[in-house]
Amino acid sequence: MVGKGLDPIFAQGSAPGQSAIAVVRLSGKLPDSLYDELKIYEDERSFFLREINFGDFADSCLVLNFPAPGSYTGESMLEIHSHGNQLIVAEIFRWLEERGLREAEPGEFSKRAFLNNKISLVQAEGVSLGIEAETKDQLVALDSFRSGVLSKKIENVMSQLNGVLVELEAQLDFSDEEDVIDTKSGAIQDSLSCVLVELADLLKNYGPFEKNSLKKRVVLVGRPNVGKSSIFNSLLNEDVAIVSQEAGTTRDIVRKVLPLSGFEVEVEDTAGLRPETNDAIEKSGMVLTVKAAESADFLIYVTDDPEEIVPKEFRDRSFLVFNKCDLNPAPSSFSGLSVSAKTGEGIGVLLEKLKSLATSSSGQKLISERTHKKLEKAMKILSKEAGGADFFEMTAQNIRDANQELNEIYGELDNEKILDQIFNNFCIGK
Amino acid sequence: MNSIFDLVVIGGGHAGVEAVLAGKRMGLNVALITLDKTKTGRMSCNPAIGGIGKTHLAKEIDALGGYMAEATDLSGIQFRTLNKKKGPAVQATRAQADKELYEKTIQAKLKKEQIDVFEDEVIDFEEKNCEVFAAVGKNKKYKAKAFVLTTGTFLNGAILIGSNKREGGRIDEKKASGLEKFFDKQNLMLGRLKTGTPPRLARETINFEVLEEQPGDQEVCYMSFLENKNHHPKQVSCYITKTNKRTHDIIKKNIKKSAMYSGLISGVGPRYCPSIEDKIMRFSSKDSHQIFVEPEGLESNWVYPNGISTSLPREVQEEYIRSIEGFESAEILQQGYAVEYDYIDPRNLEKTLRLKNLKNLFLAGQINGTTGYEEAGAQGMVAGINASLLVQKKAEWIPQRQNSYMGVLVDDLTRFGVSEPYRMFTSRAEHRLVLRQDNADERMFEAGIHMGLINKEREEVFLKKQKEKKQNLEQLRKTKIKFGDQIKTAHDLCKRNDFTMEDVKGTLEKTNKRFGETYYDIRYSGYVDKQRRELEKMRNLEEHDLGLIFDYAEVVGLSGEVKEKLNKTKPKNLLEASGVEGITPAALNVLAIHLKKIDAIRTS
Repeated sequence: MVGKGLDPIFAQGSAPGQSAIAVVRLSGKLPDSLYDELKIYEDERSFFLREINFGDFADSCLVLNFPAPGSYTGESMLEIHSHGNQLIVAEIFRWLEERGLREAEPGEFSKRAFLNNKISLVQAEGVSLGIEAETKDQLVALDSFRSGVLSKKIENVMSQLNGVLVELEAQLDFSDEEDVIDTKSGAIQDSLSCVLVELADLLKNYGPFEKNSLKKRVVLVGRPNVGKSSIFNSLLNEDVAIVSQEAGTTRDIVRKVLPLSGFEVEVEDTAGLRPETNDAIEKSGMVLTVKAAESADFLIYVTDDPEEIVPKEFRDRSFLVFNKCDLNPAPSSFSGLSVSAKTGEGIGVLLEKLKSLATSSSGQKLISERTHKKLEKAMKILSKEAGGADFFEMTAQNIRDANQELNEIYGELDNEKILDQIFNNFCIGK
Repeated sequence: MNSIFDLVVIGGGHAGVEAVLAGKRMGLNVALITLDKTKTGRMSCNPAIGGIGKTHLAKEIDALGGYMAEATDLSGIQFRTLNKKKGPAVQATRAQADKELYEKTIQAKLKKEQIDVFEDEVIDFEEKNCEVFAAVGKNKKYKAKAFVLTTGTFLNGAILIGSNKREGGRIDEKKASGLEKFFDKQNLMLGRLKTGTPPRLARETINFEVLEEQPGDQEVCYMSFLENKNHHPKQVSCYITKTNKRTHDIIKKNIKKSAMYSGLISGVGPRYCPSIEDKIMRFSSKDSHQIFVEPEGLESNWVYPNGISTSLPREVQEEYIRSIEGFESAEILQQGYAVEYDYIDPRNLEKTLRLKNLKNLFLAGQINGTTGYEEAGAQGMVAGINASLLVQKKAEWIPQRQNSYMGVLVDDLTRFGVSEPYRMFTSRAEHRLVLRQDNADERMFEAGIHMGLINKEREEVFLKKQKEKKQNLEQLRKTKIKFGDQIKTAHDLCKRNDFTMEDVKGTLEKTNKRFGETYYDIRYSGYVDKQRRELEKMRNLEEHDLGLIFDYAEVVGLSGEVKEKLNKTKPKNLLEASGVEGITPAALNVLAIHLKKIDAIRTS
């Protein structure tokens, strides 16, 4: 008896590191000897407690048997649940290699599932997008792509384009017909511009899904010596930025990624802003601060003076934090959050706040990079300036090319449909 | 007595003539069978050759050494270029022909080429093991290695005027019958189509004084690439008039009497060539329709009022004709009529226009559901060439969508079938910008030479033109122009929108009459690249062998309908699959992925 499928592979199915149990999955033409050794019948769908002997030591493992084709990959599969120690896992790997199995390539289990018709390509794409989605809006975007909200919008653009194309094609194929009145190229260009506006809107509202590019950037700003670097260090729970009593210690931008239970935020500490300095280095540090603040997703404005008015260029995007509350508490009228970097008071609340800000929707929905590229390409083609004497046929070609790009997202262009519309709109025939 | 030939062509219309001439050029022993010798090459409908999309076909026929364009040059009494302001790819030379002169020219050509023409009616084919070995005429049998059948409107033809229906393929001509039984045996789907003609008027009874004159172009233009070898006869004008409220009232009042509206006609007519009844009923908001008043010839007193085809009874035709300005006392020489005829669903055909289930019978023209002289001629060409290649035991020739309107035509027909008489439009061609009427010779030359269709004379004309274009190209490349602080060549300017063709031309020392063509070759060169990529993609598709898929039901992701179609057609490779009706690019992707799966499983 031997397992069914492609060459046998294995991979760790649980997250690496210390844990209660570790899971190693096996798939493919698993060797006869393996089943024998584990005293498992290949066809018996069940779980078994087995003492696996690795030579120097043995571990008591739970072995689950998934006979083909009723498994995730559609092949013969086994799962070995051992104690969650990376050393034991390493031993299992070696043990499996000795028995002719190899470690799987990334995504190889899903690929086999796909090859055996267990999942479709779209599902596979969806699965990987779903796994990789880092923020809530990425998941929402995935949903909007699947639910067809985007397809309706693209269809709308396409139907408008087709409207212009019908007009153009009538001009090209039926210019000798009485019912087709000469249209000026300017009128065509105008209708096309309207479509371009819609397409530009679509591009603005739907960003490409790229891993990492969506990590939110939080920038700490405020006057010098209010304790930005101390808060920075507290947030990260390590001493990354140099802290001193002296105003203007931070000159450069200090960046660090802050993991927030599944989400990541990039936090940046900056030089404090004050008008009254002659130090050239500090000045250029301040320029960097302003730049960082401009491109940040949001700001934490740190102050130690409850009366301070947040500069208006920061006001809209700032979350106000009052530091050093251990020295003198903020008055009850203070609208921001009171913290103490020194005692850690309020830092937990700030972390929660960051998490909610990081996972909130940016307003821009996401689509796959492929879809975004197609939209961009369509836009580029349509923005091409068409010629003079050949304006009509060139523009018709551009619209067809753009439509083809959009079609590759959803649907198909049909010459017959264009003609159908012409016949419905014009009385053709001498 | 039986006669034995290489190739027998049945039907002496525009398809049959090109088919038999192609066979002759390829060195075959050919024969043409037609009901009436004197009507060979007849223009049974409007007296014009060419039109947007149609001219492209006529020029491709010419580029393969066909005769339609030359005959047009020799009999054309008015030439105009359509779409002058819309770009070179959609421009089309259209000619009014002297009908009589046209058919005489064709008949003279057949005589000159010493083609055996038989007057006979083919009523059956003798066939064994899916191979036809003889066409059975009423007079005798014609044995051949291959056959091209072009029935026009004669297959089960019926003429309809008012409530009157009688058999016939053209007015006062008998229909062809008997073949429907043969096709029935072959298990082919037949459909029914309809077309119509307007009443013909006597020239001397029309008041031309009140009509708007429409002269031809000042500049002399030609249909054939041989250009001024074939001198045009005397040139004349056409005229324009229009229907009015009274005309419309008369037609509305009598609409029930029209064969079209009395339920007498079951065939589907072309939407782009509606009868006047249709125009008035479907577009009731319009109170006038244009009529082009076209002379049928220099000597002939027949006038063709283009735009008012009808199947109303004669007395109503007379009444509405006389309600039209200029036609107040017009006499009808021949009444308008509708004609209904059988066609064979062209999805029964290979792209060579050979019937899939018969090894050596090719069909061309209206029998395949098309309309138009040029569409017929182009199919005659494809069928004639492939029938000849079959006789010569050579590889078939299939024109491609990417480089010809002929390719678009046979691809559309064999993939999608027809729902109305099929006419060529430029919008049917995805690669329109590179399929210009002026470069048809370049597009067809290689195939033409290879198959022996192009004689020395044509080859020389072609090479001379290429030389002239090359001279222009060299001029464009070596002419340098200061452009701000950059130096550009005139060649660079061709692609810019801020320079017109005239601007670019102005920068050159000397040019020849091929400058426009050279200019657009450069200007549209990007689309040529695109076309090349597409052809490569097709070759790729060809390499994907589908022989390993035994049952398409296994392929996940295909709709049930598509699975069924693929199981029925069993395409050899992805390219063939792409030709199966209803196969979308998405379905092709699914197939490609499935092949990868099979591959992965096999090689592991």
